Amino acid sequence: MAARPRIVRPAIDHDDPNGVSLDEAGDTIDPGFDEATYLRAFPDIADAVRRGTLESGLAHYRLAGRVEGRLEKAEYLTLSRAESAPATPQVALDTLTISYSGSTLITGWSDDRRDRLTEVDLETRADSRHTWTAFPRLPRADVQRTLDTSAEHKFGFLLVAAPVGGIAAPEIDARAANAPLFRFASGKEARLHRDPVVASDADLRDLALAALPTAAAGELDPEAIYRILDQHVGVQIAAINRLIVDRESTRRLVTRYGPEHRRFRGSIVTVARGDASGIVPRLAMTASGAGATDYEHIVIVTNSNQFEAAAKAARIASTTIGLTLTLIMQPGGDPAGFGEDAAIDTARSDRLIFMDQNVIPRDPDWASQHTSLLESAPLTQTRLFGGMLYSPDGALSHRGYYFQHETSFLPRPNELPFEIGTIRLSRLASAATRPMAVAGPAAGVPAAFMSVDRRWFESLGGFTRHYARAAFDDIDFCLRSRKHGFPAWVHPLPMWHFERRGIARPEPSKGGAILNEWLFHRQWDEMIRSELLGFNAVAAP
Amino acid sequence: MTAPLRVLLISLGHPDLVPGGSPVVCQELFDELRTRDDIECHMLAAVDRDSGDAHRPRAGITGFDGQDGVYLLHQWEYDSWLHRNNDPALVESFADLLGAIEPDVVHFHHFLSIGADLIGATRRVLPDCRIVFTFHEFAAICAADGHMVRRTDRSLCDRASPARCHQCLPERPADEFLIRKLWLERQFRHVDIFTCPSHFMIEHYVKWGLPREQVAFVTNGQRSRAVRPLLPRPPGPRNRIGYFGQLHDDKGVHVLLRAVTLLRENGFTDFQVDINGGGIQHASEPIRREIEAFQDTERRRPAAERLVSFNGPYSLDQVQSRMARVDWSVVPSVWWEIFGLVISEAWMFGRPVICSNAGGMAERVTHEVDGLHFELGDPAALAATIERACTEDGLWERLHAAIPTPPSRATMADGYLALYQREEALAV
Repeated sequence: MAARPRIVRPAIDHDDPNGVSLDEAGDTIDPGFDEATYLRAFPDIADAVRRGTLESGLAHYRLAGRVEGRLEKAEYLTLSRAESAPATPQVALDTLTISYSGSTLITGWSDDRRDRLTEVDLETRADSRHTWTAFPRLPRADVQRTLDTSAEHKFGFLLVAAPVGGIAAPEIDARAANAPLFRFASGKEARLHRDPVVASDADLRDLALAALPTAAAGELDPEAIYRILDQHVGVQIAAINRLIVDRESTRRLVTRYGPEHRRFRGSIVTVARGDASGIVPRLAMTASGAGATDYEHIVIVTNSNQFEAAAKAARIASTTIGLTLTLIMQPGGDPAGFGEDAAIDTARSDRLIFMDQNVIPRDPDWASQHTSLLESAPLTQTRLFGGMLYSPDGALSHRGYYFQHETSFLPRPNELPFEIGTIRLSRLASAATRPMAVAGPAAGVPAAFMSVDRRWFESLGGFTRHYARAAFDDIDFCLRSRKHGFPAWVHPLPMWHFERRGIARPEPSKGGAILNEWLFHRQWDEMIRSELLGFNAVAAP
Repeated sequence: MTAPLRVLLISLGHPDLVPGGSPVVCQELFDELRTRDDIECHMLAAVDRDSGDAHRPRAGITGFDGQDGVYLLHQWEYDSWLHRNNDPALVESFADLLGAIEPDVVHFHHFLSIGADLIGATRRVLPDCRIVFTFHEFAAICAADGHMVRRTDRSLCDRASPARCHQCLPERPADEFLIRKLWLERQFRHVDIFTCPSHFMIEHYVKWGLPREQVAFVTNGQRSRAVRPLLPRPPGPRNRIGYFGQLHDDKGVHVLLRAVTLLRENGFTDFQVDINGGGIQHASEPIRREIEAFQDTERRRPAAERLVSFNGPYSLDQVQSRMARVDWSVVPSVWWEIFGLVISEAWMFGRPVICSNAGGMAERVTHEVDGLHFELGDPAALAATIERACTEDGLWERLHAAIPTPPSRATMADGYLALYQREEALAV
């Protein structure tokens, strides 16, 4: 039986019995070996590398080429002499992923210790290309082992690009974008050919996010990953997020129930996640008290599996409650700002009330209270405000956000711990069940219940669509409102908040959380430090 | 001539299809109101798949065997946690029926199988109609089975709370109980007047949160089941005990059987017990096994040593023949038993009642006056009471003489009519 070919992988898997440890092989690189010359001299090896059968020419050399005396063969010697000038630095691709809209993710490494990699270029269409001239370099322990070096050099690179032209950009021939060009400080170039993996924008975004948790491997300071995101990666992933939301927003089915052709005092907007069975009970508990008929309801369903159940629920609600309801079916999951945008496009009032599906008014006549508040309180207190959210156990669970500075210590062997200072978003809460009837400003209010003047909301651009899934979108909006002169207020409008129940807003992935933290802190930390840090710091600017 | 008052009764089940006290009460009310010239009465009975697929069940609402003014509401998609409908076609059929009948009064008997959301639908379709809701047990308060018996230790429960209810139904988070209550409360806000057939039950619902002034007492009433004179009983001890009811846990038949075992062990065997009823499949596994084991042991005894006869289920038409065989009716329920139609049935035939000292039983049967109480759930106390009932001279005659006339269906109908016509609640 023929022995299986033994392949040296750059990323050595010590648990894989078929893998070969370079340490075990005890190899060093032959000074006469040059990867590019080796591959040009032996096209069959180059072909195997392209097909992925072999990781590199060096791998082949170590496996067989040395024994075969390949460096002494005429093909190699001829080329080697002809290229006695300094060789182009070595470049290798780990992934080349591209979407039909042109979103691109490239990861790989380059041994550019002597000739710095300065630019990467990928043609995506005849008239369009991505060019990266500033991009993060990442530590790659696997490459260090492959190159048998202990140099501190960061060999890896991470390249992300949103489509040129955004949502309006025409589709590209993704498979043709298969030849990234790498330029070095010396002017040398290396073009690699690789069939790209074609993915959706969402999958590509998730792949890019998945690369973040390990991108700053070994670094304790969260700033390390932030610095990576600062170098185009963060804004490009955020732009892809926005593209996804913008595109999904163009596909929706809107059905109206109940009285039409009138204006309402407010539009109650709820994104129904998960099972649609909660739609009718929530509407019944929200829309049946005094003053409720002054408000319309907008329910957005983003889970395709629940569309039929939601349509049934809307019919039942229309018959049993008699409310004015707009049902929006909008496939695509639940990225930040997704459902809320749909509501803005269909609302028939000047007031938007965002109410989470797990929030139920405590008082049946809450709508009447809300209307009275709008009519009696100063504009500064009502342009943007939230209510008092109570846990089912009766405790106050949320009366607005505040910021606190938090210090944590990461242990290090035989050293003082590493001190990390972060700004943390917290909620004002109290286990005491005594009602808190005092209105006041807050750093922000949660989207679980947020009432906002529609024009104000639109003028500030609504909830940002850049975050990876829902996170920070509410506080981000509140800080924008504050920055423009209207801080969020909290009024004693009591709501039950069933946070443990059903499907909450989906959590972002670990990489998504990193992106969200970066986006938020890069935008707002300066303002928070100067105005909003601490439990008692909240006040009108 | 004034137009007749149009009344729509909405019933949990129909007695022709589903056994149970609540459908019987609603049917009695319907039959009585149909005799009144100034009333136009309709009845809508909710039935589920267990009742069979009669009359195009997917149609939502249909007629019922051509009966005048009687309709069936066929439940196929039902949320039995919140008690609401998941089929929009059914809800729309209901709204159409309301529009066609245009009742002045819509009287809900229960919300199980009907859907609490139909209360809201009624108010939306008929904003000015009178909505009356009759509680037949504690389903609004108790999500376990509406009986307010703690599943943790089978003790009687006197208050619901999310944390306590979660102990009984640990598969449901505590939050779910608050949502359930909020949902039912919002539907009940459309109701003009609630009624309960017993006073202690009113206290439970007021404690739960209903405004006292909105909850009235209206008794349950029945036509007499005594269709022919009872034959005179031969002289001798009054030692024949009858049990009438379902054979499941809360009805307490196992308490009676344990009492029989105690009496037998103590050497007192001069009595007979007739068990009338079925539904053992609804009993919990341990209780079912206990009843079946008792039954099996009893069957294997020589005929002369048997104390207990299991007579099986009975129809309302058979009540007289079953009652004729006994001197006493035992109601050993281990839940509150909010009214106890079986008490009325015993009284129709002059049978004193031996019952648990709680809830509707204790409210209706006066200890040592027209019946006897024993400590709820205590077989020894019941055994002692049975022995006394069978042996004390003159006791049966004294209690028998004091038995009140059970409420008639006309009395019940008059009580409801007073509420339909917006008179003050009857605070009896």
